[in-house]
Amino acid sequence: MTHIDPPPGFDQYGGKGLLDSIAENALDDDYYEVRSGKYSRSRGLGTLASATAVMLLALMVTIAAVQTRTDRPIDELERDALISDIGVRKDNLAENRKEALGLRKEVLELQKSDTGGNPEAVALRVLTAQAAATGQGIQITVDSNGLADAPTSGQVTETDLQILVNGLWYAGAEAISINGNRLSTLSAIGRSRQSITANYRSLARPYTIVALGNKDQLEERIGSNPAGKYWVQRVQSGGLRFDVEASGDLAVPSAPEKRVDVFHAEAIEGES
Amino acid sequence: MIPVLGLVVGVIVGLILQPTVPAALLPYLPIAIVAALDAVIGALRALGENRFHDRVFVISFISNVIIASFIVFLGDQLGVGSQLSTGVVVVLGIRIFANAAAIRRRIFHA
Repeated sequence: MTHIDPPPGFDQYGGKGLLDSIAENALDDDYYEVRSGKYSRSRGLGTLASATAVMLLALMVTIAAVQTRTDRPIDELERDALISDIGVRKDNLAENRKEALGLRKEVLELQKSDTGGNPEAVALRVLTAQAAATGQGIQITVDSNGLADAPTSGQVTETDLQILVNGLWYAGAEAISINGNRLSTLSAIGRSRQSITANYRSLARPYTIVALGNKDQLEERIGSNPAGKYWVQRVQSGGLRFDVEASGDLAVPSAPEKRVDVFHAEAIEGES
Repeated sequence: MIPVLGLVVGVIVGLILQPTVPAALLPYLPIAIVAALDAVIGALRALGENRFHDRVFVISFISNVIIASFIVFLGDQLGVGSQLSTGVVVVLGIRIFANAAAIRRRIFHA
């Protein structure tokens, strides 16, 4: 068998583009084979084989078309079901959140109302800063030296306040608040950008520290313990303001809810 | 006449039976159809040029469908199924249009 020449324009090995050569080779080369004898002419259109191939094509097209048509509503149904499912779950979540919030409030209210006749519980709540407290104590007001271009030594830093608060606990303070922010066991004094924070709230100058406790003892001890001495030095070197005032009637608020909540730590039964 | 009969029978059988294609084979059906269409259009052109041969037609039909499906399958396994499908459709589409143009030229001399 030999190949006849390809149709005009056909360039088997020439520099034709891929798409051009595809277009020019569109007809399978087999059709161009010269066949001898009875195969020399077109033949076989009416055979079962051709008919089967055509039938297969028709079958595939029909199946695909039918399937696409029937699948469409199913897809839509599925999507609708998913959307409504999402909606239901969202509602569920919102409800659960609401319930959690309500239960939390209830717990807090129960905790607050649990003061009746149990002095131990009341003392605990004062100690843990869950309850506002009042009594005698000292009030310390500290401030920067007021010069706008003061060097860092003229500014009250978070470290200064930390040392002061530690000194107050050391001196026997039972409850401390800074600018109305009650310090609990979970409180921290830190810094956020330019301002000092307590309980993650920014504090503004001047800083007023209220410490409840035996006022005479507090005043005397804060003057003589390391924290007090540190502050004396700070006043001398930086010109800071440091006023201590004893009073028989001071008050501190309760700490924010987040600073008195316990989620993970559990009490060990039978130990104290 | 017999191929036209085959066409009609295929459509009717598909409509009556409405077989469900397994989901795993669904991606290959469109490509297989395009490949089969290419073989059929090529056969029509050969028919016009008095070159038609049923053996060539059937073999090109089957091999087109199998190779096109295989390329899509391979692409799926390699993670580039859509790109390879696009390539197959482009090549087969060009062939279909070129053959259709040849038929048109023969019939309408234009």
